[in-house]
Amino acid sequence: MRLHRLSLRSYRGVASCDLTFAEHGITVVEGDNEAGKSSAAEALHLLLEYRDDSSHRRVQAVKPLHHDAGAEVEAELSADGLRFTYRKRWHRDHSTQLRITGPRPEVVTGRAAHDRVRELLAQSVDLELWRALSAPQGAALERPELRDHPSVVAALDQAAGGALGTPGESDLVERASSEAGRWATPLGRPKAPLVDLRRRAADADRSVAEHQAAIEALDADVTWCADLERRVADLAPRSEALALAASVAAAEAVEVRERHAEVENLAVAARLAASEAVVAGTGVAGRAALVAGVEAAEAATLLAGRAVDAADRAAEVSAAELSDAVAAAAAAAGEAEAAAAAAAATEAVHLELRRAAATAQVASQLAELESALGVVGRLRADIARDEQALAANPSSPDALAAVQEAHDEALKAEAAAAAARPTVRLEALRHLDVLLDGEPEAIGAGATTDHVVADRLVIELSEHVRVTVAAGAAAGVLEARHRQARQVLVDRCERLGVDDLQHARLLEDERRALVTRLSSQRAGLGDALGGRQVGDLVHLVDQARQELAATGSPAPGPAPTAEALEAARARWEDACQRSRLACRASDRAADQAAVAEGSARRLRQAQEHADAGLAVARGDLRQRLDRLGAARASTPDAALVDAAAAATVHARVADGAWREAAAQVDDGELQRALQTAQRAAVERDGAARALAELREDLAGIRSRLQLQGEGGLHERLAEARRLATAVAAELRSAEERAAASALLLATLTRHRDEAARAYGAPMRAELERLGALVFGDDFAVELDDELRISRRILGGDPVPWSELSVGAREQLSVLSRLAAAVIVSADGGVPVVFDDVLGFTDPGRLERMAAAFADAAGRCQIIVLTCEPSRYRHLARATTLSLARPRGVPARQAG
Amino acid sequence: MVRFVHTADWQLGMSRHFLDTDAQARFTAARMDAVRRIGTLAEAQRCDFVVVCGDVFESNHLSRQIVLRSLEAMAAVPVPVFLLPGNHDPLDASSVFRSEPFRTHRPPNVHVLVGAEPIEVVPGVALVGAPWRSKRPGSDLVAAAVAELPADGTLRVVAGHGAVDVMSPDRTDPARVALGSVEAALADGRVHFVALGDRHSRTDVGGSGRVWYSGTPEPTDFDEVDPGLALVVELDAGSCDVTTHRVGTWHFVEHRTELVDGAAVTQLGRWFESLPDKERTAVRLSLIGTLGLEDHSALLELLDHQAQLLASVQRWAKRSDLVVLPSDDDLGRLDLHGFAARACDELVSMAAAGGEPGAVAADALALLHRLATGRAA
Repeated sequence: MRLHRLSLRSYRGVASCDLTFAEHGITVVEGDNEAGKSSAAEALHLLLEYRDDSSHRRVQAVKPLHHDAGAEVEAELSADGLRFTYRKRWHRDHSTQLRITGPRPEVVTGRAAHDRVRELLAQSVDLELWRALSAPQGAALERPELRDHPSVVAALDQAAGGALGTPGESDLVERASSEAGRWATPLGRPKAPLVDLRRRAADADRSVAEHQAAIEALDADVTWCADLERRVADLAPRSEALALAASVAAAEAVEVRERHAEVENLAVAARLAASEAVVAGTGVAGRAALVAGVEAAEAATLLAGRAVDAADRAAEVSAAELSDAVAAAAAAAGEAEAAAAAAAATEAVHLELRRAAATAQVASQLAELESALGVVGRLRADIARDEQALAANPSSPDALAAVQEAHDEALKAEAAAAAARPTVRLEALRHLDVLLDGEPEAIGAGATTDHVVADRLVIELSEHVRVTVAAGAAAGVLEARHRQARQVLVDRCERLGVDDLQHARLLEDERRALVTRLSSQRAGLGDALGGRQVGDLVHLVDQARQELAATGSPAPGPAPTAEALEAARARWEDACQRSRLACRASDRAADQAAVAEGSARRLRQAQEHADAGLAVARGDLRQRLDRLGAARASTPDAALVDAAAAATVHARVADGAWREAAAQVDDGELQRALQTAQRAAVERDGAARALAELREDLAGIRSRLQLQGEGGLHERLAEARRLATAVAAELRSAEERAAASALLLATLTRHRDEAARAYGAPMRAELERLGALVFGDDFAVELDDELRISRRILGGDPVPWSELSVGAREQLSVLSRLAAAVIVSADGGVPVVFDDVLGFTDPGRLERMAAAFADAAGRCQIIVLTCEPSRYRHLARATTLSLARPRGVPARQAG
Repeated sequence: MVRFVHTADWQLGMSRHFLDTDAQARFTAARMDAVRRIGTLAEAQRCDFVVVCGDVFESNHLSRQIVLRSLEAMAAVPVPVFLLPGNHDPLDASSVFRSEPFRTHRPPNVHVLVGAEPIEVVPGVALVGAPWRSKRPGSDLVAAAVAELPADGTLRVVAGHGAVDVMSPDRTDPARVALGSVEAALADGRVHFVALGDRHSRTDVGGSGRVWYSGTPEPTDFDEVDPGLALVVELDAGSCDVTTHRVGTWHFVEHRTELVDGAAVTQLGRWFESLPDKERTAVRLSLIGTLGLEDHSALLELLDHQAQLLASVQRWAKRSDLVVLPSDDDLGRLDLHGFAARACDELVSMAAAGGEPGAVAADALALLHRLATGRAA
């Protein structure tokens, strides 16, 4: 597309403006601010994009100022082999007109004209690129995004050998991404449908495995059951055989046991016969013992009779000794009682004397306490009186010192004032009557009177003369100080209640005397109390009085002497000594009587024992005689001897029979038979128990099998397998689709990226070619995926875009637009419009940028709008247009 | 003389994991209906009884519903039905024949051959069973069953289950049926017909004409030869006449085809159209060759369509080798010139290299084709 001419009428503040651009190369449109440069750039966009009846704010914004008319824009363009004039008026009387001038003239108006131009441009012009390449004011620092502009992409793709293919191919990547995105995230993680299918497949496989395991368990139970049946079949006859063997062994054991019992019976009979022989022998010996016992009892009875006689004699002697001892003891007891009575009498006398002494001591203490209580009472009254006087006395050493100080100050002030007062001396030369302060005074002739003037003195000598004498200012001050000092003295005396210093001194002397007396009184009181309280003293008096009253004697007599007391105590102790001796004699007599009584008692007991021994000996003799008589009556002594001989013979025969039978049996035979029977029984029981357990297991497993067998396990397994097969097929299909989509996406993306890198190369090459004119031959750039400059490289040193200076970024942005415009120029291209760019570029770079502009202008149309024509003075072959300022706008007004 | 129906491998309650829920329901019902058709056959052929030689049920662990429905179908058979436990339903502790629903609801005409003792099914005719008592018997059950039988003039039919030694490659299997002992018993006149189950294809075993596998009455898999039959046996001591009767309604069809272009896909479509009983037909395809993206899309559409009609359409991955590569026409339709064309070239190279990455690349190309031509997924 080429822009040949642009006219604005009533457009914003521009009343009329016509610009005719160079068809090739650079057109520089210069003008002051508000001359309409930016409006011209904007007007072409409005013309191509908005209908004449548009209410878009951008259209509304270009209404002419200060007069009621419609904004109008007309452009002459060529594109796709056509040259046409296109005009629109908005706001009022809006209209559109397209006039095609060649190759075949044609005029279209209204909406059809608008649509026709849109259609024409859509076929041949990349309007989006045109907008991107246009650099309005302030936008030159931004890198144009060229990646999405079809014309740029097409041009680059063509330059790179057609790597991008058709536009639909780009969509393929999106569709492949969408398909792959159904199954996996961009990072390759499976998404919910695939995860769910995998989980379902795993669940289905697990279900199959569980059912298979259940059936295998069932089959194992069946095998076990068969095994149990076989074992039962094997064990049942063996159990029966063992039962039979056990019963045989038990019978044999019974038979052996019976034979052994017979031998044992013979042994018992032998032992019985031997016992009977022993018993018969014992009977003969017993009879001999009975005879010997009767003889011994007769001898014992004789001895006991003799012992009774001896005891009777000893008892008689002991009774006489006891009677004497009792009489002696009674006499000693009487003497002891008399001595005790004498001791009690002397003790009573001694106690009475001690009580009289104690009463006298209490009476003495009471007298002392009452005296002390009287002294205390007097002292306390004195102290109370003096404390009251002291409280009434306001004086203190400090107060007296203060009065003394004020008195001294007053004296000093008075002396100073007196010294400062003027003195008027009147000397009467002849008699003189004068009025002094109005008071008449007569001064005799030759007399002199002095008058001290404290403040002022008015002297009237006659009705003609009045003399006023006034003290000076210094005297006044001293007088005032004197008065002040006096006042301080008076105030302090008043506070102390005295008239003057003398009075204050007397008051202080009185106070000191009171303090001294109080101290003395308090010391006396302390002495009288002796460390006690007054209450204690009163209590002690009461206590002494009560003790005295308790003695019962209203007037206690004189206290006994110490000698009288000591004599009474000696008499009492002597009586006590005699009483103790009498008691000990009485005790000894009593002991002797007790000894005699004990001896008599023991002799009486010996007498009783001797009597009892005699009775026992006589009883024993009688019993023995009775037993011997009875035995001989039952069996005579000769019969006993014969029976013993016969029993001995019988015992010998029985012993012989037992020994003969015992020789016929084996000692271990019975033990072995019993053990055999026991073993057989154990084996029988073990087999029976094992058989019962097997049968129980068998019954249990048959019951379980029956229950499980009816559960339809086979069908459930089949259903689980069917489901697992179906899910596995579904999963396999999904996995295949996921893998296919992932592979397709990866392959497409990789080739697209390679293509992108390939078609980015021409752009970079063109940019570096133009940039070398500005920055030098070592200039290079790196582009990002959006074909924007990401880094500039100078001398091999790369600098990221964000770290470039503002000027460098502006220059690179302009170069990017120029490079893109050059690249698309082969297919018609679009004009590049720069509005007030390179404001940040130094003069040296401006000159080199001019070279880049000039180079690009060889292949595309460039329009530069500027208010600083000097920036472009190096563009030697540029067409320059000037825009006049609108009327009413000052030349230097800021834009 | 006696006439009876020889059948086996009903495998009632069988499930096929490649059938969807609806097709599985049809498949299960068809096996029940086959029992009723056998009853109809027995009546039409004036048979004295029906003997089922093992694998009556698919498993011992079936639901009560399956057992009850099976018994209901057997009750409709107008003659006695003798059931032999096989390897799928052995007479072990969990046997379906000992289950409460079976014991409680067994119709009077239904009998289980629980031992080898001969049962006189009609006067002068005895049925000798060799039931499986576990899934892995330790010996030849048929040989044991016939070993002690006398040649006393009784017409005997032996019902057995398992592989015959001359047809089984597993020499270590102790349960194989020894054809020699069977034929010796036949030659001695101790037995007169040996009815076998386990093999799903009808088979005349040996040269006696008296040893048969009836095959399964309803097909169960793709590798069965001539399934869907029941045998009617007319027997006496001197003759044995065996006739086959179709009772099955399902078809398991394997189809192998080479696909090289759109015409081959069209041809495959015609083959599908020729299949009868589509709702009872399961198809397993082995596809080989190379298809362009457009033709492959057409193939996928065809298979999706037929999967709606048929009981099942499977691609047998193990026997398939179908490579999908964009043809020149495909690439022309894509109209790619730029980076996408280069990406497409790379994917074509990957796909042509084959292997797992090649398969992913082929899928990616198909996706590219779909995205570029704007087709729905």
